[in-house]
Amino acid sequence: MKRGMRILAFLLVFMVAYTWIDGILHTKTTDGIGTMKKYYELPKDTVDVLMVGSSHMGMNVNPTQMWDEHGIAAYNLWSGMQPIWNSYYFVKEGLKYQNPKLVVVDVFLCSVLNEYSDSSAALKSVQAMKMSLDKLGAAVASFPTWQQAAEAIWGMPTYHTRFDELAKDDFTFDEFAQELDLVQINANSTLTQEQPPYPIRLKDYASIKDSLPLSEKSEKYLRKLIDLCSSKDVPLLLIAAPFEATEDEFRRLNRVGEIAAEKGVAYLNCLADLDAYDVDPKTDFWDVGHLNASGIPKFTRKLSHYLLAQYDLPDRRLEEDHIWANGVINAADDSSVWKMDQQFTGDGVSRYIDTGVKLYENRYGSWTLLTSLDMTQHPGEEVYMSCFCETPGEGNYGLLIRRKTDDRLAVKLGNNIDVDIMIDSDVINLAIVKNVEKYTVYANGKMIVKDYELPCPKSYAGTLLIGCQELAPGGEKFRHSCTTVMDLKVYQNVQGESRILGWTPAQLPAMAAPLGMDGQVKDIYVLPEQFVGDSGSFVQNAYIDTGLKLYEESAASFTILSRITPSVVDGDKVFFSTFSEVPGEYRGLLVRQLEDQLLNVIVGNNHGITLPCVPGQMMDLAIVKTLNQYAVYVDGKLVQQIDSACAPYAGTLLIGAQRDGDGNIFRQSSTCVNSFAVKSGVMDESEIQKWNFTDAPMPQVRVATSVNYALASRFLGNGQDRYIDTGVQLYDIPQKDWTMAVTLNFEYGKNSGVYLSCFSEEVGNYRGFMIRQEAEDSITILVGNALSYKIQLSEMDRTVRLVVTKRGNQYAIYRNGSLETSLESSCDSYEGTLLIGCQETTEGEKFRFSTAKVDELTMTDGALTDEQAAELSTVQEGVSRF
Amino acid sequence: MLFNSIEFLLFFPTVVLAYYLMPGKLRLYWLLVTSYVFYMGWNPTYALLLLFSTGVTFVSGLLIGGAKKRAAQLAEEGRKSLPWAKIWVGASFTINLAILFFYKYFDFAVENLNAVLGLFGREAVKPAFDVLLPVGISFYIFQALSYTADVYRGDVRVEKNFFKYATFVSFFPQLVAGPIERSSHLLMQFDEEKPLKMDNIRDGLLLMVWGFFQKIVVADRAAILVNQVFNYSSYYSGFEVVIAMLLFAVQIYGDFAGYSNIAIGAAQVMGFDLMDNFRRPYFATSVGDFWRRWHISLSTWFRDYLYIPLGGNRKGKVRQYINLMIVFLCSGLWHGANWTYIIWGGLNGIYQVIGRVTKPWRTRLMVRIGMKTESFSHRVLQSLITFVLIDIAWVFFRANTLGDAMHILGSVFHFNPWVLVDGSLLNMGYDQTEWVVLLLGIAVLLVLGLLQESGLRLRQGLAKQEMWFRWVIYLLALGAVLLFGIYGPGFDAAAFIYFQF
Repeated sequence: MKRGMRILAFLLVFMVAYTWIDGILHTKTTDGIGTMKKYYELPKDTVDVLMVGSSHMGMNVNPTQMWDEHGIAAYNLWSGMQPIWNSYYFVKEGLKYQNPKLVVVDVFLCSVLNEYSDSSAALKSVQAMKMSLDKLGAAVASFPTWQQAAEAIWGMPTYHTRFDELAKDDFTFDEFAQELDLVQINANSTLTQEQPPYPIRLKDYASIKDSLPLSEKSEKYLRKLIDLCSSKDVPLLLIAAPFEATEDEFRRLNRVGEIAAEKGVAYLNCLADLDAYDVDPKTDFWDVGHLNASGIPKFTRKLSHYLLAQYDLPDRRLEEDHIWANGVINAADDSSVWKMDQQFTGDGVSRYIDTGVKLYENRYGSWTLLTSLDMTQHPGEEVYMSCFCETPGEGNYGLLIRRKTDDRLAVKLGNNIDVDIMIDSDVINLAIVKNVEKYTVYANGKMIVKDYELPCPKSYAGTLLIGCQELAPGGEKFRHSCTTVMDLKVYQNVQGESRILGWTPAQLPAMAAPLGMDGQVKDIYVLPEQFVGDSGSFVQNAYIDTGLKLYEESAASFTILSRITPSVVDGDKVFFSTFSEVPGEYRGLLVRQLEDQLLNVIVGNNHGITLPCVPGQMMDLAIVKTLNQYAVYVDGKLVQQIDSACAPYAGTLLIGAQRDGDGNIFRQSSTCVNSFAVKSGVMDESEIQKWNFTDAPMPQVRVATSVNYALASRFLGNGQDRYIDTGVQLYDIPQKDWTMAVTLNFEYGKNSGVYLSCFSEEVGNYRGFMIRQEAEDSITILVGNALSYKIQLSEMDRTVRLVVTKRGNQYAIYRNGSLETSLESSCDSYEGTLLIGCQETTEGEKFRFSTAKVDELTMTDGALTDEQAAELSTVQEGVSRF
Repeated sequence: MLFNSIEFLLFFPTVVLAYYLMPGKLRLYWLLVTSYVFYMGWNPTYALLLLFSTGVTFVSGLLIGGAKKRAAQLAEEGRKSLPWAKIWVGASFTINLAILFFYKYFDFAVENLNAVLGLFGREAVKPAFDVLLPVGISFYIFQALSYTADVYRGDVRVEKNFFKYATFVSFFPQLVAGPIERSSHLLMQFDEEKPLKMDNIRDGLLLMVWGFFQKIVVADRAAILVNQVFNYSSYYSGFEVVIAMLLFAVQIYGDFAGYSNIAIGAAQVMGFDLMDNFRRPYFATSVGDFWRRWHISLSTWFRDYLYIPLGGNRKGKVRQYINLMIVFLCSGLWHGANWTYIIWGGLNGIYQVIGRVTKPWRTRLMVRIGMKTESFSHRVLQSLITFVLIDIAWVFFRANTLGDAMHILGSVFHFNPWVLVDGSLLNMGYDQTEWVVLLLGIAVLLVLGLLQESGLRLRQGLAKQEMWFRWVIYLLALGAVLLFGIYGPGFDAAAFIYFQF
């Protein structure tokens, strides 16, 4: 007994493990496997039209569109290359779980004489079915031998080889079906959108009236299918979607028609009358059997019309609980395709929001738009939002919400028809529901119009814009408005009335007004100390970044007050700039000195003026921007007014330099800015005249210290605590020039450590100068930004004479009378001093005491010429100071 | 039906379940019926051939038994008679070997006859029919003949129950590819009570799973590359060929030992004990040793019914060598009607003759250079040399034609080690994952082989372990077979190589 229990327990464990692995390995295709798995998950009584068949059903008919346009609740239970016997079992299985009002079956594969489809297609049509006699039947019908059928039922033999192609998704099989949403299953058009049109060649099908017999098997199952539906009392529609059929294939489709007529079943052979389906064989296919993104909507629409005319199918769109209502099963409550997260307030100049939602991409599409509009400000023809074609020569159509008069809000819909709404409150909560070509509009909970049929003449590719209009899809924006939109939500389907009336706008944060728009004048920047430019040649980063983005919004208003001194030396001479240098997109603000005596001020859309200036002589320059208006004052007097609008520019305001097209600093200048202040808002002439242009404090100019030094006696490191601090700063000004002549006592085979160091140990920014022995047979020299150079030495090298002469960022290293190497490396400044025999930490503590021996060391200011340095590096035999 | 088929997966549990549920007396008939069903899974009409061979040997057994009795009576009376027993043995062998010849060697004989006729400018003979080789014919005819011979020698009693005898010849686990059982070992077992023993079922199933692992995970996977290289040998050379040769050694071992293990395991599930057929042959230290470990049931058959009757080693060295060559040429021919098999057999014979001739000389040499012949490393060396010799012979066994075999052996000497690293290995039928699976499978074979060779009895050892460990092993074994086996619609279920013999 105990043993029996053990065996049972083992079998249980085995089954659990087996099921787990089976789930991982199971083939996971959308068609057949995915469509069937998803079908099992649908709630009861949610499918009105069950569509079954091959890819000619699955990829040509889009149920999402049927829902959107007509509220038809259709499900496409298809699998690629599905023959009629699999369709029969799919329908049989389908009718077990739903009570559709109509079954539509694609008969494409009746037109060919295959007795069996290829194994991989047959497996997709069998393996996702739940275990039942029907599954066994489907397997036996699908495979030539009972062994193959058994393998298909068992499963593992057919997919165990996938072990070497498993992907992450395979390990989440339970979620596989759940994650497939209906849109994914239904909208196979997404597969084909990128496909170029493929013109198919059609025969003169209308003239073919005779028929050819179907394969015995096809006819048998076609009849079984018809009998099944009649026994279940469900109407059946057989359909042959358009494809490039041969004449014989068409004759077999005629035979399907004969059987259908005999049995009294409806049959649509679309090939016989292709025009009736709007399908163009030249442009609407992407291969011989499948419609493309242009063909699918047309074919689907015509089919929907036929279904609506012939069968009593309810419009389920207003049933909010219907699974199709949100397009996605199990979707979160909020299924909007776009929603606002901050209020919008326009500036009338450049502000707008592009939602990216294309409301009229399909003019038959359905959507719901909920918005809350502020009516308190800006009367006049201001735009709240638009998705409206105003392209010249294209006609006017789409959606446009704007204020018409003080007391009327106009909503333009469809073909340029206004729906007027009385403005009787400060806020209007507006809801617009588009249902194919009919609109229903609510304002503050009242229905204004219901099912108003306003067909659009064409589809429009533009997006929904808030606060402006555009000339063409993605093109130039105009009618920038000062309207406020407090909330907006867009759903790409029809929302039920209760959801619409129950909607309350969210309390979203208000949008800050553009700079200076509030009418108050406030300091936003004051230069702390004078800027004295050196063209970047002596002090690194010789410019000041104020961090102000004055042109982030075109509507900004500001005042710049500056006292500048034109430069007397050559080089770039930029005073300040926030200017786009992208060719063709020059814009912003730039003040610079041209030649010697011309001051160049560029504002707005690259609009420049020149003013006289005297090098070395201070001048007071003020620039006031009011929206697109600029006023330029020199020494308190207005000298020029300019009107120049420009697009926003995101760069910051720099003093003494510019940014190039890539955003990098360039044109570091030799100009002087004595004082500089930026204020939000507009100062008028009298205020500017009253302004006291006092100089900012002078910057603390750094003067390079001298490096002159000579080692008094030979240094012998003890590796413990001995070192010499020369007190010489080599990098207080990183660009300064100096020359070092040193004689090292090299010990081959040892690892002496540091000879000399003036080196910052700052992690991530190692810099300075160092000579050390790291290996038995070499010494290493580090310069600048820790650029390292190794000199290989031999046992013969006891005395190593080196001369390092530094000019700017250039290091020339000489040894034994000739140039050893030239190095270039720049670095930040470093306050530390030159140490002999150790290094120092960033805290100034000495460490790495070495056993190095330095015979001689002299440091001198300035760089040497090549000959001088070479000579200095010559080892003078027998001459030593020690 | 194939062991690695879905039919067998349904057939075997059904047979076993019914077997244990039915009363002991009926079991014999059940096994007989199911064995014939098993055989008819290939070609129903050839069951008649099996029945005919069974009938001939059964009757010959009765006749030999009768003749020996009468001869003994006459001898007592001091009278002489014709040697009837010998005549009946001869008749049984003649009829059975004639069947074998007709079904297996007729085409080959005609082909060679035509070749000879062609040499003399004569017109070729056209056979009036096309013969389809009956599955397993060499196996059951040899098994039936062993009974005839054993009765003649007096090693077993004459079997009087035809059904029992027919079940012995057709017993489905070993019917089509051995082990070739002896009547003295298996026939008696049909008389025994076979109570349901869980240990038998567990051990039998475990052995079957192991057999499936050898067959469908290792051998069939190795076959993909082997087939690729041997069927398109002109495209490959050097290391590629060496790899294919190594893998063929793995394939044929996995295939045949796998079959034997499934057979022995299946029989064990039903309480029967079949003889061992393989004992880690590639660990053999000489070619002779190899043949004591490889297909033991066939080797001993040839030893008992051919080598010893020819005089074995009792008639001097030269005769012994001749006898050896006869046995191995016959063995080659037994494997197939093709010169490649005959050469393969001949090679194995020659190896042993040369080995014996040079033995004294080799021994002296080893003593002189002071080789440590008892050491492990010496054994490894011997095994390696033996393996190389055997593997060279396998080329003839596997190659489609003699020309192919010579070409393949010649191309081995192309030195192209870069194929090991330049991605060529991924163009021989496997991707990287497949290589890993194959090498792991071979590693499992090797490690378990080493453990067994060191005297460990794996299944008994496993039974002594904690339950969790046993379960893990069972699950891993089943999982490996299910996951990594070569089966299902992606592959043609690969017949066992030895079915064709």
